[in-house]
Amino acid sequence: MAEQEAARPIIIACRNVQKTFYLGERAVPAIKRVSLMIRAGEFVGIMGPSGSGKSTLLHLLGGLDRATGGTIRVAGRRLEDLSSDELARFRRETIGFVFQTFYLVPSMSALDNVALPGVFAGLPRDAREERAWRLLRAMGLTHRADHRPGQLSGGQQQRVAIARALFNDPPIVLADEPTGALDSRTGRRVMGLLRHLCDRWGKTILVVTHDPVVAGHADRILSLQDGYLIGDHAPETAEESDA
Amino acid sequence: MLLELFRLAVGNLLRARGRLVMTASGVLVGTTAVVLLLALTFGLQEAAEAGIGSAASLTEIQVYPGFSPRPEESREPAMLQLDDEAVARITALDGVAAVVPLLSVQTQISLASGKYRYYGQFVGVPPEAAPYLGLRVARGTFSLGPGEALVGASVGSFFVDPDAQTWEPVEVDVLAEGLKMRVYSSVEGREQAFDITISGVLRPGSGSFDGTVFLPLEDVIALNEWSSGNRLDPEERRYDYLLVRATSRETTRAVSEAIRELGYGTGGVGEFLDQLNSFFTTMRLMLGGIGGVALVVAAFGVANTMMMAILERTREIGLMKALGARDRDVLLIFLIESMLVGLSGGLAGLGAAYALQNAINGALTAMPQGQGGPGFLPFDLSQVGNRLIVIPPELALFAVLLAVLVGLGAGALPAVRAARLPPVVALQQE
Ligand SMILES: Nc1ncnc2c1ncn2[C@@H]1O[C@H](COP(=O)(O)OP(=O)(O)OP(=O)(O)O)[C@@H](O)[C@H]1O
Ligand SMILES: [Mg+2]
Repeated sequence: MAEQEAARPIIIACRNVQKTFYLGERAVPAIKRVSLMIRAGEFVGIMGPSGSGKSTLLHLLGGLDRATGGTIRVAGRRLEDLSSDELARFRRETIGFVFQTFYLVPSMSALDNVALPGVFAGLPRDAREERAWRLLRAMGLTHRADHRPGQLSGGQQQRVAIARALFNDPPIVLADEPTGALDSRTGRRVMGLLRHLCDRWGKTILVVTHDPVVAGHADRILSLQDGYLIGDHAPETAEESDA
Repeated sequence: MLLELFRLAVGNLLRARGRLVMTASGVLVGTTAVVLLLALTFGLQEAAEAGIGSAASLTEIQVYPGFSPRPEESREPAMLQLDDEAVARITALDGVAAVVPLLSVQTQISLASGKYRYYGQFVGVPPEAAPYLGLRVARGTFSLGPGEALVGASVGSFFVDPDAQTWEPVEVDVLAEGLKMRVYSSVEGREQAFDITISGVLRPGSGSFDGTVFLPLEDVIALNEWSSGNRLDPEERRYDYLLVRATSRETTRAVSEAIRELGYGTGGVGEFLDQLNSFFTTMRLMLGGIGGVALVVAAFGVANTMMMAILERTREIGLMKALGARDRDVLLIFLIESMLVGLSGGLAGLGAAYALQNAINGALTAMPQGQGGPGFLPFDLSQVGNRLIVIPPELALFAVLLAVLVGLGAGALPAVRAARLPPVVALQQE
């Protein structure tokens, strides 16, 4: 098992990553000198108290925000070198985001929501709908394709959101508390789905969560506190966090 | 790609239908105001042009003597006389339908009915060219044979008794038998009466010809020779002026210029029309400006709505960026949306303008007509088919384009702001 994992390529590598927010004069350090490595196909949980920087770290890895220090390499790209357009393309091709409150467009049908990333990829409508349909089928939601998000349960909405995250077939899925708005039973189903994406679809999955039960689905847990990475079960990065 | 963004923008607009209607209404009102005010100037212009005179006067050019344009041939600038050679040269120009030379009687002459006399302008024209004067008879026939005359509409109303203390004009039926023409001969030093038949009375509104007596050119030449006692060499003959008839209203100006290039002086309503046109251009700019104010107000409405939409949809913008939208995709979506607001407002405004056009023109037609149409207008609307409001196709196109530009202009700043939102900031917005 260990050898098999070691054979997988490193898909995310951070070195001394820092993120400091500036509120007027005041500097708010949210991520402090974090270094880590994640291999392709890993299922990583990120835990830590509120305000410890979990979401911020996820945003940096997904190219939604820029670090104020250090280097981030994701899927062969150095994010600090990318222009804003290149970063958009990186997000489109490499990352699928899943959010706690789903962020579905309320006026669009489930199918249109899933197909939305295809608009920015310049995919023609037929191709978009065909692919969205397949993803909805994979999520077991074909009978809800025409429904608006408001007509769906929380778990169904999150599955629509996951289908949307998978639309451009990105190698990495970043999920920020995907079960936070769901009851524990539905939450477990969603985690099971993410696990399935990791095992069967080969996706690299990072899930931020407060829930130790949910975290139990992960192969590896990163613990954040006050912006520091204080725990990492992966042997490769353990040395660096000790140093 | 653009098509996909366009579809998305349309979808966005349709889901906020109420707001679309409200915002587009502003553009609607502005567009309607601009179109109606400009259409009014077009209507007034058409009515004014119709009022200047018949379509005939628009193709009319008066030609006066001038100076040779080539002074190097002689030291003195040669006077260019209106002789038969001038008639021939102008007749040969492109766009000239006919040249009517006018020659006036050179001695004292009057029409006589009993003791009453008419003193006025007596002008000779070639009978074959007379139809090109653009005149119609109200009574009698349009005929100018030897010994015949055509008289202007007011000639019959201005006969006077020359022996009376005060000259009170009296009405005389010029078509009645027994009318004479009295001509003074400087050779004999006395007047002599000639028989004359008035074949027709011209319609009123013939402009400067209302008081004119037209005679055949040959008769006038004969009278002039008889009264002066000299035979005149036809080459020495000098016309008072030439009336040139252009083939169409459009060629009038070019013909005028060609005649001036030959060295002659020109005048005519066609020239006046240019001044009228520039007056209406000024009027259009002013009224267009007033309507424009309404459009500017509408633009602020559109800008405000787009700003609100961006505040409301901040999270959606963040989401689109997380899903891979570039800044320029977001920019385009919002620009397309505001452009469509402008377009729909513009089209609706144009529709409203057409509806009001029909309503206003219809109401004017239904109004009790005075002598010259509805009394508050300084001209006769019936001459232009009671159309006070005229929307030419160019105006319609211009108005819609303007509305689209207003939408784009008003949406530009909000769209740039939306495009520049950092994705995380947009996503974290509650
Ligand atoms: N846009 C921002 N501007 C200023 N400070 C910010 C911003 N975003 C996050 N922070 C700060 O950075 C720190 C980390 O925030 P972050 O959202 O990453 O925490 P978290 O671990 O996800 O917390 P939670 O579990 O509550 O979601 C916090 O102190 C927060 O106040
Ligand atoms: Mg968080």
